[in-house]
Amino acid sequence: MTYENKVIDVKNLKTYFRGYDGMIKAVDGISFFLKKGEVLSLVGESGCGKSVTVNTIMGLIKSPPATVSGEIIYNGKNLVGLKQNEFKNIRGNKISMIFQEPMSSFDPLYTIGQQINEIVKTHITSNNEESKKLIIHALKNVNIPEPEKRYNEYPHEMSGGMLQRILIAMALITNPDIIIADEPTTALDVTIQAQVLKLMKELQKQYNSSIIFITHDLGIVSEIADRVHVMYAGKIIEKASVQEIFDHPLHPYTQGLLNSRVKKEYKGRDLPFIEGYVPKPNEFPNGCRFNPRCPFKKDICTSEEPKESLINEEHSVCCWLYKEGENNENS
Amino acid sequence: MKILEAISLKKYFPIRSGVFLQVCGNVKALEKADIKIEQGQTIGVVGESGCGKSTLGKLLLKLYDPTDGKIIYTDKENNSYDITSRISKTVASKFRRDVQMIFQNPFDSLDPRMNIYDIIKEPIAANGMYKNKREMNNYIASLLTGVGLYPEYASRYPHEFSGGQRQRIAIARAMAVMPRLIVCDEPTSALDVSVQSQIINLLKHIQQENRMSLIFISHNLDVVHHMSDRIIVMYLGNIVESCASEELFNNPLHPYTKTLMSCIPAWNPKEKKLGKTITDGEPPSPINPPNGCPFHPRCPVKMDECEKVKPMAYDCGEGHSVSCHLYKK
Amino acid sequence: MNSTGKRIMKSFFRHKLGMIGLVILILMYLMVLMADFISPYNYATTSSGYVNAPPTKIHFFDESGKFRGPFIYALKKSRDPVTYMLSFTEDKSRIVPVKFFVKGDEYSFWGIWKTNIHLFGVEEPSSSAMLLLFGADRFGRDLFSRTMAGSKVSMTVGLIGTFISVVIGAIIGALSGFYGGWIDILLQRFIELLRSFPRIPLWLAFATILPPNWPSTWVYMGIVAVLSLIGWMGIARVVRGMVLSLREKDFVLAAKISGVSGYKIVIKHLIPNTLSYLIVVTTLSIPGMILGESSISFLGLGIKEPMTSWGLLLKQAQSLSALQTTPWLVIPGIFIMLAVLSFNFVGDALRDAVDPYRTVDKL
Ligand SMILES: Nc1ncnc2c1ncn2[C@@H]1O[C@H](COP(=O)(O)OP(=O)(O)OP(=O)(O)O)[C@@H](O)[C@H]1O
Ligand SMILES: Nc1ncnc2c1ncn2[C@@H]1O[C@H](COP(=O)(O)OP(=O)(O)OP(=O)(O)O)[C@@H](O)[C@H]1O
Ligand code: SF4
Ligand code: SF4
Ligand SMILES: [Mg+2]
Ligand SMILES: [Mg+2]
Repeated sequence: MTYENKVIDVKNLKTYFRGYDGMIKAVDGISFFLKKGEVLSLVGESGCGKSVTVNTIMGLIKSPPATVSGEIIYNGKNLVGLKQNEFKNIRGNKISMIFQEPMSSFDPLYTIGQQINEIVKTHITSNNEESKKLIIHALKNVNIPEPEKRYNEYPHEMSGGMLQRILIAMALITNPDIIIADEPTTALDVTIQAQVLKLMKELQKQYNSSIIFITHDLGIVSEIADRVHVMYAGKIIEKASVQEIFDHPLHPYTQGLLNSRVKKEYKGRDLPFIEGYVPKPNEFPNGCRFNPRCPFKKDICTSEEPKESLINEEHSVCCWLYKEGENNENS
Repeated sequence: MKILEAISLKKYFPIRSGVFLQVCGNVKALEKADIKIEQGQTIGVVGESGCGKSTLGKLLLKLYDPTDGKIIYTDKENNSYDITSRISKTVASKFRRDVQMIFQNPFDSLDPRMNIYDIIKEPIAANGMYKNKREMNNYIASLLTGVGLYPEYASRYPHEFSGGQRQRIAIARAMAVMPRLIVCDEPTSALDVSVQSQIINLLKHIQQENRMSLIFISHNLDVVHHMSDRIIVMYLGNIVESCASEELFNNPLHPYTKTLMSCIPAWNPKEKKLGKTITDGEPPSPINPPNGCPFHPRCPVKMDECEKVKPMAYDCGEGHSVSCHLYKK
Repeated sequence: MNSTGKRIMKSFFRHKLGMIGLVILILMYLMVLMADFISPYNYATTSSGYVNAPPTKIHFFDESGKFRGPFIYALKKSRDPVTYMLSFTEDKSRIVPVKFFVKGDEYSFWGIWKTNIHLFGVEEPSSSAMLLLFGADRFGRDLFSRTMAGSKVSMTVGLIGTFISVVIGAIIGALSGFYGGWIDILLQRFIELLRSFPRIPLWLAFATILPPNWPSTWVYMGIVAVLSLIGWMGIARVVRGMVLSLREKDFVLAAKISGVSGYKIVIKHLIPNTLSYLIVVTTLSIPGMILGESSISFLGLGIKEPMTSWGLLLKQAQSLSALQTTPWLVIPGIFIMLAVLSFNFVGDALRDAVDPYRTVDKL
């Protein structure tokens, strides 16, 4: 892979918080990169550190009190340790973000137009005429009916799905290098979720955007992602192309997640499930963090952390069951 | 044998405003629902947020008074009572023992200031069971083991448990009075994906062992299909389709049900299916629902009469009923 | 105690100002309990020879530098030839030792035992020498003893007043929130109406109703009544808000479904879940009451002479000339400040510990 292809390159990123009882290692040494024009999906269950990862990239984690280490290389520059005012030109301009809760992403006191205008003013143009034209075009682009009217309306006058589409319009308006979407459809109904996913996919193709898409739903991953990184307890435990993940999941956790889909055929039988519960972030087990729940656990798993081993050029996994370059799939 | 039957059950929540809170409108949360629950049967309820699923569940539990309609409760001795009218204390306490609920958010449904023992003891004591302390301890321990928790957990407090464990505690509490019917309001949607299946299996086992009835509310069609014998599909306060769960998956009739099914992701990257189907628009507000068919503003096969006449429930054979003009005979 | 309790304790004890406040409050209430014993004189005894006498200095070494233990010099009076003001100088020839557990004015301790032992004082009769730690007022009464006596009123009025308001407020708020309906609407409007008046004028308005010829204990009760009459409303609002949100909580619904009676739900779920907030609200509303009593008494509508309170004591320091000539008269004010600040510190610390997300403010 050539270097120019990577729009962002994260190396050994660690984000720790000080908690009531001990250090919370929310993100504990993860490395990944995002290629130009791809959708990279970070999947994992609640609390595994997905949001903390992207919030760190966006410079939204205050440090101190948190401690951030490692490298986030964007445009040849390391974003770790960057001051808040240096971030200003990057955040919302070069890297933009779509959040889970559309309602709380807007200030209820200002109209939609005013709020998008603020972004346009700081990053693009201070000409009001031009800015309004741009915004209305952007709203049209995300299928908002009557964009001229919506421009002057307040957030509470709109439904969740509509607000989420406006958020997407806001994220796209500066023509960013990277869009980070943190569970953008989790708060939406399935029919609206389908609309929003479809819209995102179309826009992504049209603009050739690079997207980091966070979700806990593998179904959504199958619809939108090009590559998938599975996270568990602050680590990325498997990286692969979306087809590989669904066809040849390697890590026992990934396999468990895929199996826990409720399929029609299971009717009248027990559903397959993963034993136990997700560990709390201050009591991660030693060795492989999945070991208390893993059906294939070996002795070494409780003492030593598995390293990332590359199985083939589009698939790597952190698990003692696999050796570099070898695909001894368990079943 | 029947346990509960709702007959054209309706619930409007008045919207009030002004200094003396005059009624200035209604949230039409549930319109004329007919439901029958037999012993040992599981009824699934699906629909999008705000379509009235929880309202239906809470009405059946008498947590709300219905605006209109009747709920007929049949006790173990096969006596029936209309519990929406005034009922005697004995009937009320029988009903309370017979019908329980499990809530969506296990972080909200357990009192943070009580330990697990007291939480589970509450319904037992309220119903005057197990007055002897020793028996009570043994019973609570057996309930905890029954839901896959250690009896030693009884002295701990809710915040020490994960979401899945708390949901197990909530199940133990619901099971404590040995109910004949449990209303499960989205019992797995607040849980981690890897834990959801555990809870579903547990509920299914408990149901089969005790020949209990369940009303299983969820927005996830797959989960509802797995759990239920019959499925009710709701849209904007209306029951739009109801039939056996196999039938619903093999032969969905209502345009909304079809839409809902097409929105389930494929779990197969080769056939990204969400790009193909389009359903425009969003559910309208239940305060001003559209005239005629509630789904008509979004319906892909809308006809002229759909805007004016509200479709009644048409029977399409084998207990399959659909509220849509397409199936008028 | 469960671990939430432990967390609260830990977080409370970590709060420095809160701890300082707590220590001061404990000392102050010990002082209230022991007031008669600690004061060297009866708070009402006048001594014409010591009108507006300044605080007495306590010495340890005499003129020749010899250690004598604590002692004071008797005072010599002289009149300023120009202003005719009395002024006091120390009579270095008359050494009066300060002793502990001395006999003095007779009093009844807690209204039970009659005794004349005081913690400290001088053995000479007041005509020849007086120990005036905070000086004397214009009737020659010992300000220290009066401050002690005043503490009994000032420090308890807030406590009793708040207790009554919390009981009234919690019950009315809980009922209003739990049952809702017309009662709730009327109560809320009534409270809003009363709360739209500024507090102090309202206190004064109520205080003027108290008949001026009432005996002092009645006046005291009257003041408590006035303070709590207004104080319960804020508490009722907070409790109502909390009950309203708790009422819809799933765990309350779960109890209802199991057939737990309304009364038991209030006792077992609603009250325990509001209790910690209630304690915070209580602590934070005591200082308001202390100030309320002081204001009423300061303006002459509250506690009457010879009974006294800190507010009434401060009344003497009203004029500028009094502040110039007898600055020690503001000492009771310092006590008011100390008590109010301490309660606020403790309240803040409790709030931070119980309610890290500040939901009390939001309600
Ligand atoms: N500011 C913070 N201070 C302390 N701990 C934090 C902070 N932010 C996050 N955490 C902890 O870090 C862990 C990871 O949180 P994160 O929000 O990244 O999870 P997530 O994967 O996004 O989960 P979800 O699916 O619930 O959004 C959690 O256990 C969380 O409690
Ligand atoms: N106590 C209430 N007072 C007023 N309106 C209510 C009340 N409870 C529910 N509603 C309204 O009734 C409608 C149906 O709500 P309900 O909670 O039954 O939906 P739901 O199908 O359970 O949705 P969800 O999937 O979000 O839980 C909604 O529009 C809701 O806002
Ligand atoms: S490293 Fe060991 S415990 Fe961890 S997933 Fe692999 S086999 Fe299981
Ligand atoms: S009644 Fe008409 S609008 Fe409604 S679902 Fe049927 S076809 Fe569509
Ligand atoms: Mg998150
Ligand atoms: Mg609901």
